[in-house]
Amino acid sequence: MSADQASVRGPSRRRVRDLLTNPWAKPRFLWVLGIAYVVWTLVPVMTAALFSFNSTRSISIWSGFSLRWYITDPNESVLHDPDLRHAVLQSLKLATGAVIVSVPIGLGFALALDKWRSRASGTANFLMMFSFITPELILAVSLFLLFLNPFKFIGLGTPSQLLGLGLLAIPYAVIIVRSRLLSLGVDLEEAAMDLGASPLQATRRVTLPLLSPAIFASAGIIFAFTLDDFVMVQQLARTGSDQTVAMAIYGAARTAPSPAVNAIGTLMLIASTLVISLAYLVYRRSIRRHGAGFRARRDALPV
Amino acid sequence: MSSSDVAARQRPIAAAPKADTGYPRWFWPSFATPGMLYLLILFVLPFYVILSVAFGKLDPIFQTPVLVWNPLNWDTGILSFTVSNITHTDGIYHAAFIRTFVYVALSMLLCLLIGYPFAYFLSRHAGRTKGLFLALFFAPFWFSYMLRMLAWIGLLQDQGYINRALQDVGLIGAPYPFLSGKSWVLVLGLVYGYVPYMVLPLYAGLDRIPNAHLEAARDLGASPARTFFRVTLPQTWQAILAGLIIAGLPMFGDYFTQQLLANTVGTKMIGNFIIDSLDVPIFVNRGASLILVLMALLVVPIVYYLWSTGRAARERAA
Amino acid sequence: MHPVHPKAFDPRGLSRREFLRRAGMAGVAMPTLAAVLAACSGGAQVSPGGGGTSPGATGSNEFGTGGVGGAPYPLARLDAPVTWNIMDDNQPIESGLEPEQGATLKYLNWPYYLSPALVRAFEEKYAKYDVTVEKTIFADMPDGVNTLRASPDDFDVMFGVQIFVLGQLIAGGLLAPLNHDYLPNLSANVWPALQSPFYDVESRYTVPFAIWNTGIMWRNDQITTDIAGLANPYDVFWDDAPKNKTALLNNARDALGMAMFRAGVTDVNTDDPAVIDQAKSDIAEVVAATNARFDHNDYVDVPEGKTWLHQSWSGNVGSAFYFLPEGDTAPNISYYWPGSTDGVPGNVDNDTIVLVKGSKAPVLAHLFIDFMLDAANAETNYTTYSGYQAPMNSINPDELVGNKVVPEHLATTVVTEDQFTSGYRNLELAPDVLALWESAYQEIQAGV
Repeated sequence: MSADQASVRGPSRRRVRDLLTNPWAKPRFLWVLGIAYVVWTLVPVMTAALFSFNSTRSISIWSGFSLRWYITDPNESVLHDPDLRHAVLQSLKLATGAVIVSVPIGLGFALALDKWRSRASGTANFLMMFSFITPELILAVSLFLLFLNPFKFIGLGTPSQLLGLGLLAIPYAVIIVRSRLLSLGVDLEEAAMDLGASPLQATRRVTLPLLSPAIFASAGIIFAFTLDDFVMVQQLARTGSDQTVAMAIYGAARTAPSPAVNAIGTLMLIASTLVISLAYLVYRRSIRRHGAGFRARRDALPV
Repeated sequence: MSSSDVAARQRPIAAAPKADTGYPRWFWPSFATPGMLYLLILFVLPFYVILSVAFGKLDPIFQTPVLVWNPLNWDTGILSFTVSNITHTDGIYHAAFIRTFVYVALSMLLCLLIGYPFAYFLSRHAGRTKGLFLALFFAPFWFSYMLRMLAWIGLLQDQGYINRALQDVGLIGAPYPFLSGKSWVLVLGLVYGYVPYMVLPLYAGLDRIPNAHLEAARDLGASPARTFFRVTLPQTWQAILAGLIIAGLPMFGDYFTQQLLANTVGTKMIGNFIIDSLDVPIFVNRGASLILVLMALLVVPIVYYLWSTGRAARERAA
Repeated sequence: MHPVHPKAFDPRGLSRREFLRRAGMAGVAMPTLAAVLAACSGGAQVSPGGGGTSPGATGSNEFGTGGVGGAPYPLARLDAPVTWNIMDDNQPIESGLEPEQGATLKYLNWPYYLSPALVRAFEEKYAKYDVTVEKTIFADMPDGVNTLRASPDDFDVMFGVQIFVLGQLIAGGLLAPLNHDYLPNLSANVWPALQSPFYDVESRYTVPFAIWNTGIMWRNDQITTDIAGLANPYDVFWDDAPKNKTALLNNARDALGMAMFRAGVTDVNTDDPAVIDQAKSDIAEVVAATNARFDHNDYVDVPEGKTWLHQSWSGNVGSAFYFLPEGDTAPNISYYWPGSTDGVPGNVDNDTIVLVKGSKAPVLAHLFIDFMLDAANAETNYTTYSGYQAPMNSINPDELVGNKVVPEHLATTVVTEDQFTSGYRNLELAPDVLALWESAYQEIQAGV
C-alpha cells in the first residue's frame, strides 16, 4: 500500500529511488528494448517515405530533395500520371466502401450475439471467427474462383473487391463492438427496462450511444487496414482501373521501382494516420460523453 | 457482486419474463442475419467451390477448370496426386511444405522473442509515455505492408544503405546479395511483417495481470526473475498461444514476401505454389487441392484457438 | 513481348533516337526481304521447326481448316497453315460504318508495350468522335488470356497476342474477324510475308504487331566470356554463369526451349517426354549451380547490375536503353542471338493484334489497329518506346544498324530476313503436350 501511495505522490522520486534500491525496477533495459523496437518498425517506413522526395529515380541512393514524383515530373508524378492517381482513388474508394458495408453488419451481428445465448449463436460466432483466422490467401482464392464460375454475373472487379474486403472486415467490427458490449454489461439496459422501456428502446436509446466509441474505433481500424490490403484486392482485380496503391507498390517493387510509387505509398500513410487519429479523437470524445462503461467504472472504484 | 447479480447478468434479456414485450424469440438473432448471409455466401460457399474445382473437370478448349457440384461425380484423384507430391521426397510440393513449416516456426519464435519483451515493456513499464508508445506500436498496423517491404528492398539492394554501410566499414568487399534467395532474409521479412500481430494479444494478456499479484510475489521474497517465471509467464500462456496463432497463421498464406525479398526457386513457399497454379489453367485444380490440404493441416490450430479464446472470454465474463 | 518504361520520354519533342532515325533513313526501300520472306512463309517449304509434332492427321475441324491435330482446334504449323473459319454468328462488321460516338476504347496489353504518346495522338485524331482510350495491363500471356476470358465483353482490342494461344482464343469465341476495309495499312505497310501468315491465312483474325528473337543479354564488364564467339553460345549458362546474377525467362516454352536448342533439338514444339525431361534436367542444373531467377525484368536488372547474364527477348534490349543516362550507348550491355552462329538454332517469333468479339466499339477498334499499323507510328513505337521491331516495309534492319540507331554491339537485336527464315518458332501445342511442358517447368520451380 505504501508503495502505491508513494507512487501517487511523486513518480520521479520513486523512479530514482527504484533505480538505486528496488530490484524490481529494470527500466533501462526494457526502455532500450522498447525504443529499439519502435525504431526498428518505423525507421524503414520513414526511409521509404523519404525516398519519395528523391530527386532521381533511385529508391536506394539519395540525391537531394525534390517534389518531382509528387508534382513536377510531367509524366510520372502522382499529379500527372493518371494511373497513379487512379490507384489512390481506388484505395480510398474501397476502404470507404468496406467501412460502410462491414460496420453495420458487424454491429448487428455483435448485438445479436450478445443477446442471443444459444447453441446457434455459438455457431454463428464460430463461423465468423473462423473466417477471421483463415489465412487471407485462402479466402482470396476461394472468392476468385467463386466470382469466375458460379457468380460470373458479378465477375471480378471493384464490386467483388469490395465484397472481399467486407468479409475481412466484419469480424473486426464484431470483435470490437462485442468487447465494448461486454464491458458495458447488461445492467444499464435492465435499468432502462425497469423504468418502462421496451428492449428495443433500451438498446436504441441506451446501448447504441454507449457503443459509439466502439463503432468509431472499428470504422477507423477497418478503414486503415483495408486501405492497404493486398492479397484480396489483387486476386479480385480485373482491369487496370481496379488497381490500388498496394497493388501498384507490389507491381513496381517486382519490376521497376520508382519513387513515384513511394509517393503514393506515403500519401496512403498520411491518409491512414489522419483517419486513425480522427477516429481516436472521436473515440475519446465519445468515451468522455458516454462514459467508459458501467463495469469499467465499477472496477475503478476502490474496493 | 452478489450471486444474484451474477445470475442476472447471465440471464438473456430475450428470455426475461415480460409477457408484454411481444418480441418473438427470433427478434434479436435476426440482427445477425445480414452477417450470417454474408458469411454463408462469401465464406462457406466458396469453400464448396474450391472442392468443386479441385475435384472437377477441365474445359476442352481452354483447359480451365469446370466445377462439378455433385459430390458423387467428384474425381478425387487430384488429392492423391497432391498428397503424394507432398509426402514423397521427390514430390513437387515436398520441399516447399517442409520449408514453409520451418520458416513459419522460426518466424513465430522470433516474433515471440522480440514481441514479448516489448509487450512487457508496454504494459508494465512505459509509464506516462504509455499512450505514445501504444500509438507508435499500433502505427505499423496501418502502414501498408507493401510499403514496409518496399522500404526493405530499398535498403537491402546492392546499392542500398546497408550494403554501402557494410562496405564503408570494410566488413565486406562487394555488395552482399541480400535479395537473392536468402532464407534468413525471408524469415526476417516475415517477422518484420507480422510481429505487431504477436505483440497485440501479448500486450492484452500482460495488461490483465493485476499489479497486486506481482507485489504479492515481491512481498513474499521472490526475485524479479522468479516472479516472472512463476507469476507473470504462467498467466500469459493463453496470450502467447493466441499471439503465436494470430501471427503465425497468416504466414502460411504468404507468397508476396518471398516474391519481393527472396524470389528464387530455393525459397518457394506453399503460398507461391497456390498462386502460381492459378496462372496455368490446367493446374488450377492443383492449386485448389493444395488449399484443401493446407486447410486440413491448419484446422487443428484454428479450432484449438477458437475454443480456447472462447473459453477464456467466458471465464472473464463470469 | 515486354518492354520497359522509358525514362522521361517527352512526347512533344523528338528524342535523340528519333532524330537520328529521321536523319539517317530518308527514303530507304525494302530490297529483297519481301520476296525472300514470301517464298519462305508461303508454306511450300518444309518448316525448319518440323511439323511432325503430332499424329499425321490434319487438324481441320469446325474452327478452321489445315493445321495438325491433337487439340479441339487446328494447330498451326509452318508446313500446315490454318485458315480459320468465320462463324455465322461471328461475322465481321460491315464496311463503311461511322465510328462510334463517345466510346471508351479498352485495350489489353503487356506493360509499357504501346507508346502513350501514340495513344494520345489517336484520341486527338478522332477527337470529333469523343473517344477515350483505356488500357489494362497483363503481366504474362496466361494472365492476358485469363483476363480476356474473365471479362470478354469489357475489352475491344488486345495487343501482343502470341501465336501459340490464337487457337484457343478463336475456338473459345473470344475474337472477332477483321474487316480489312478498315485496315488499309495492313496491305500497304506490313511485310508481305506476314500478310497471310501460316497461323492465320488471309489474316482473318489477326494482324502482326512486333517481331523479335530470343537470345542472351549480358553485362560485358562483368562477364568476360566471348559469348558471340562460342561454338555453342548457350553453353555460357552451363559453364560460366555467375551465381546469383543469372536469370532465365519465366515461361515453360522459352526456358525449356533454350535447353533444347543447346542440345541441338530444333523442334521446340515436341511432344516427346524424353526430350522435355532432358531439357528440364538441364535447366535444373543451371538453377542449382547459379540460383537463377525466373523473370523478364532484364531491361531494369541488367543496366542496374542486379543481373549479369539474362536469357532475353531482343526487344527488351532496346528498352534497356531508357534506364541509362541520356547519351549512353550502353557499351557495357551486350546481346547476342545464338541463331546467328552457324549450326546453332535459335528462336524468332512475332505477336499479333486482335479484335475482341465483345467489343462495344468495333469500328473504332479497327481504326485503332489501323492507326498502329501506320508505318510512321509503328516505327515511333519501336524506336522510341517499346524497343520491339515492327515488321514494316519501311523499316530496314540493315539501315538501323548502319545508321547507329542500333549500336553495333547490339546488332543482333534487329531481326533480319535471314533470322526470320532460319529461326524456330514457339507454336501452339495440344493440351496434353502443353501439360507435359508445364509440368516440367513446375518441377523446375519446385527444385526437383
